[in-house]
Amino acid sequence: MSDTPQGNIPNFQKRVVLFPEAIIILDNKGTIVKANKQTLAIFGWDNEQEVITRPFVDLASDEDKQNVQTAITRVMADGSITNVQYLALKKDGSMLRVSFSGSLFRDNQGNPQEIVCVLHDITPHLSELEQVREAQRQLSEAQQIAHFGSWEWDIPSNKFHWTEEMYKLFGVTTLSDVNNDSLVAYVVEEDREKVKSFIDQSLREGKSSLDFRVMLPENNKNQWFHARSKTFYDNDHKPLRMVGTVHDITHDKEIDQVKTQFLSMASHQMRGPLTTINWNAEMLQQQKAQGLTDSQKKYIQELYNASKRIVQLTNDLLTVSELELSRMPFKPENLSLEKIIKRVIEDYQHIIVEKKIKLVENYATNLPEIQTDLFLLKTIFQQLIANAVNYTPTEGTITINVSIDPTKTNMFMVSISDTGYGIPKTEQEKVFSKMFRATNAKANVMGGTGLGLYIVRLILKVNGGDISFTSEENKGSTFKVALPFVPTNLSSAIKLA
Amino acid sequence: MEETNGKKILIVEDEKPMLDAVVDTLKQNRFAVVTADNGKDGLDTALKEHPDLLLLDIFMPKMDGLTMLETLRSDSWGHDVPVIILTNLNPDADQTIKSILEHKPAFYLIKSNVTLEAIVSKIKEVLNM
Repeated sequence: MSDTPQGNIPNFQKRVVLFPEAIIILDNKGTIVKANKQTLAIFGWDNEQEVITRPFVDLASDEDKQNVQTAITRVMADGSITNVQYLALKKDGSMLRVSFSGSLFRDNQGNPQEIVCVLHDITPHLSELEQVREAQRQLSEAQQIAHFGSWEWDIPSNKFHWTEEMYKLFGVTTLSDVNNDSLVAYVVEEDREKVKSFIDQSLREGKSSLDFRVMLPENNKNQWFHARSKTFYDNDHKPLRMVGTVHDITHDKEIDQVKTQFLSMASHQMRGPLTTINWNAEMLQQQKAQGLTDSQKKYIQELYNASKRIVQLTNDLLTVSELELSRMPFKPENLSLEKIIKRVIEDYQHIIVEKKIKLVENYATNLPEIQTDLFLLKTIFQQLIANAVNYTPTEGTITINVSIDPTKTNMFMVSISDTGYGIPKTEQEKVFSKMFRATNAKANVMGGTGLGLYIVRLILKVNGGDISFTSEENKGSTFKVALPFVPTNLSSAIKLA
Repeated sequence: MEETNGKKILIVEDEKPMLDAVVDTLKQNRFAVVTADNGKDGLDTALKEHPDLLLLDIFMPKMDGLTMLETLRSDSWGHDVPVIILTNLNPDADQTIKSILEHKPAFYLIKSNVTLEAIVSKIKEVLNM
């Protein structure tokens, strides 16, 4: 027990205001009476008024309030206390590890009057556990702001862990039991198969992502969620754990849909004036004999050609919008792949002859019929054959092979190879994106909307097929199309690309 | 003096530049031509003039192409007259348009995608000329 200092408290207080250590003065009830600049700085307060008249224990985190209260009581009893460590709360809600020492001052009658405390920020010495707690708190805060939930699935024990935001997203309380079934129950029926594939793909390939719709009890409309996952395996490559995120993308989807509808409307409206241009140019051309000069005829031809290109672009834009809005009609019928491809080739026969291109066609014997939509099937091959023909210089070769894929079930394989300009390696990953034309394509062939392959890929995804290619600049390209015997996966028409 | 090939075509189209282009072309091909710029007049003219074939737009004031066609088809003559839809709307743009196909037009042509020459040849095909 040390001597309790007596003396002129007010003078002492004046001196400690600017003291380089954090000093706080409490009354005999543990209420803050004074806090110096250094204290304010540590806690993030702007002004002494923000802390004065508040109990000192207020500045402690919930778990440590009791400890701090006990410490104060001990100072009152013993006259002093040293190195009490506790977690303090800063103004912004974050935590600070602090050590405080306190000394009791009595008045002239010997009654406890004030406690003078010195505080040290010892956050650098935060224990690992507190760091983790702080990180968790920050994560939770971030998730709340972004409306991003995260989840974890312990596969061997089939136990789930959801963060708070996940519960909020699905509108359930934190006390609900979470398992596979509770999740799937909220998913719109048409998308349940997709959710199952998402999990399967993640287990097989280590990661996956998915857009899917849910119907939550308290909301009357469908919502779109986006989920991503990552799988962790043991040394035998058995899945141990899957983690992932989910967030609400309903708004994004709505914006996307509005944009596509706008595109569709605008494209439709462009057709009117384009028709007028085309028909008038056509009539002018028919009057060629009646006094048009050669250059006038040329101008009309250029107008007409340019107009036809815009028409092609608007048709492509409309096709894209219909596919993206799932308005593309799909009328399956039984067709002969060979017949359809041959018919498409006929349309390009004149260019093939003009460019002296050698065309080789190999059709496997006894090919079964394909069940699909005629317009969509023709569109696929019109685009691929047009590309081969347009991007192959004179006297090149185009080879078309149609067969059954031996490595897959009920799948046709069509490959279209050319000895044309090819696609530069650096641009190959953009080939299927919208409005993309390779630099060498643009240099060698005029026209082309950049939408063709994007459309082909969309159509194939709707059908349950796929497309891939290999290519070397100035050597040529080979495009491979996989087409199922019958359409599969049709309901996923909405999630494409 | 009229030198026609004996066939009368009714064109129902509200946009003048397109109407004029089709009229000129048909006349050049020696068809007799009657016109209307809205569905109501189109219906009246059809029932009065009994053309050999109708070229019908969809989006029109006063009465649209679908309503006109529905009404036409319920008439005993109108039930069988060949109709070619001449429009800029995609057939699946919405349900209304899809229903047009139930009334069995001979062709559904998208104006921006066809030449005047192609229209004439489709007309001739339908009329077995």
